[in-house]
Amino acid sequence: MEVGTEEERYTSKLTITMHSTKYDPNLPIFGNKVIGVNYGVLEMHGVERPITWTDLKETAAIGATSITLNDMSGESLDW
Amino acid sequence: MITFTEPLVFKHYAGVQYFGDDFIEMRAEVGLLTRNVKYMGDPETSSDNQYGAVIIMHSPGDETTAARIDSIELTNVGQAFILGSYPIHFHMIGTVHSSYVRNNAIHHTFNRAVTIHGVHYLHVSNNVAYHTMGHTIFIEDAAETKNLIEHNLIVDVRRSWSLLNTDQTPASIWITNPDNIIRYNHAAGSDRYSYWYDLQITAIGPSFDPNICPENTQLGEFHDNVAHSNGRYGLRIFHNLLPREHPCEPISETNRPIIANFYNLVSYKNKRNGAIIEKSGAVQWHNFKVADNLEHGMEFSVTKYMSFVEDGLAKIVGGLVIGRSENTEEALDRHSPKGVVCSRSENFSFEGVKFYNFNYNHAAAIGTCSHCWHDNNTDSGGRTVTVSNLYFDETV
Repeated sequence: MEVGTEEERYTSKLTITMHSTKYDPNLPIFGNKVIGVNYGVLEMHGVERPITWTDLKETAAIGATSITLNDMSGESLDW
Repeated sequence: MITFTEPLVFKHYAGVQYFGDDFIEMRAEVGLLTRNVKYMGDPETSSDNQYGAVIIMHSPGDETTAARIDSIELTNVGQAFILGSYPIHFHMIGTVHSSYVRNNAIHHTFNRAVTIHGVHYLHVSNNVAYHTMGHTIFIEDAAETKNLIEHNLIVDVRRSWSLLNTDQTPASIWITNPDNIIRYNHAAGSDRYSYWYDLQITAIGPSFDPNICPENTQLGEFHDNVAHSNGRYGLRIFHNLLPREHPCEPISETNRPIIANFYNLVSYKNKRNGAIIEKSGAVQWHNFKVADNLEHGMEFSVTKYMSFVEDGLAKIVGGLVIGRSENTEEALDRHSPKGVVCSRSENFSFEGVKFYNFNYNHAAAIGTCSHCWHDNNTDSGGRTVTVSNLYFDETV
C-alpha cells in the first residue's frame, strides 16, 4: 500500500477513516478496523514538517492568548 | 508566535536557571498534532467504544515486511481491551532494517502509540504522541534489541485498565531489554513514569527464551532524555540491572561485569523521584540534573559490588541536584525531599555532585537507607557510602 513515497510525498489532503466494532468479522492476529501488512510494504509519507515539536521560548502565563516557540537553533518559530 | 482563541488555563514555564556555573533548562514542550495525511477511527463510535483504527505489520522472518510511516497524523487509534491492537504495531518480524516511524503525530489513542514486538533495528524518531493509554512506546517481549527511539515527544500518558497489569502504572517509554537506544526524547505528564526499564529475567511472551537474560544485558544507549511532571518517577529502573559479558551466566573472572552508563537525564517536578533504581550492578549515572521532585532527586535502593571490574561500584558521577527552583509548585511546601538517597546496602558512591536549595521543611541534600521506612524492612540503615568532591550551597 502506498500513500506517497520518500521521493514523492503525498501533498494533498487525505483522510482515511476506518469503521467497525469489535463484534464485526475479524482476521487472526490483525483483527479489524486495521491496515494489516503481511509479507508486504507499507509506504505512508505526508508533507514533512521540519520541526514536529519544540518548546517555549519564554514562560506563558495563565490567561495568555499567545505563545512564542523556540526552533532548534533558538530562533523564534512560526508554525 | 502562536495565538489562541481560548486563553491558557495553566502557567507553562520556560527558562534557564543558573546554579554557580552550571544550569538547568526547563521549557514546556509544544508539539504539532496535525498533518495533511490523516489515519483515524470513525468519530461516531471510536471514542465511545475506545475502539479505534490500527496498523499492524506482521510476517515471520527477517525483513519480510516493511513499513515506512512518515509525517502522518493518527487519531482515534488503538483498540482498548484487545491485546495487540495498537495504533502502530510491528509484530514478530525479526530485523526490520528498512522500516521506520518518524515525524508522525499520534494522539487520542485507546491502546499505546507504537509497539516494538519481536523486532530489531526499528527506528522511531521525531514523533509526537499525546493523550495515550498505557505504555506508549512499548518494547514488548524483552527479546527486542538495537531499536532506536530518538527525539520523540510523549505527553499525557494515561493509565489503562484494559491492557496488561503494568499498564495500570504506565510509562511513556517501556523498555524491557537494555540493548536499545533511547536518546534525546522528552516525556512529560505521564500518570506514572517517563522511562521505565522494566527488565525481564528472560525473554517473555511469544519470544520466550530462557537463554536471553535482559536484566543482565549490556545497556545500549540512554542519554540526553528529559522527564518531567510525572505522577511517580522520571526514570525508573525496576527491578534489576546487573550487566555482564554473558548475561545468563554468573559473574566470574571469565564473565566480567559491564558498566551501564546513563548520561545527561534532566528530570524535574515528578511527584516522587527524578530517578530511581531498585537493584543495581555497575550502574553509573553521569551528569543528571534533577529539580523540584517531591520525594527525592536520585535514589539507589540496593547496590551490589561487582568484582572483576575496575571501578565496579554503582555510582552517581557529577550532576546538579536542586531542592527547589523558581519553577516549583505549592505542593513542594508540603514535602521534604532528599537530593540523593543512598542504598540500603554497601557499595554505593557519588562524586562531583552539586546541591542547591534545600532550606525548607525537613528537606536535605543527602538521605540514607533507601526505603528503610517501609513496614516490611528490618534494616537499621548503617551503611558505608563513599563520596568525594561534593559541593553544597549555603542553604544545605
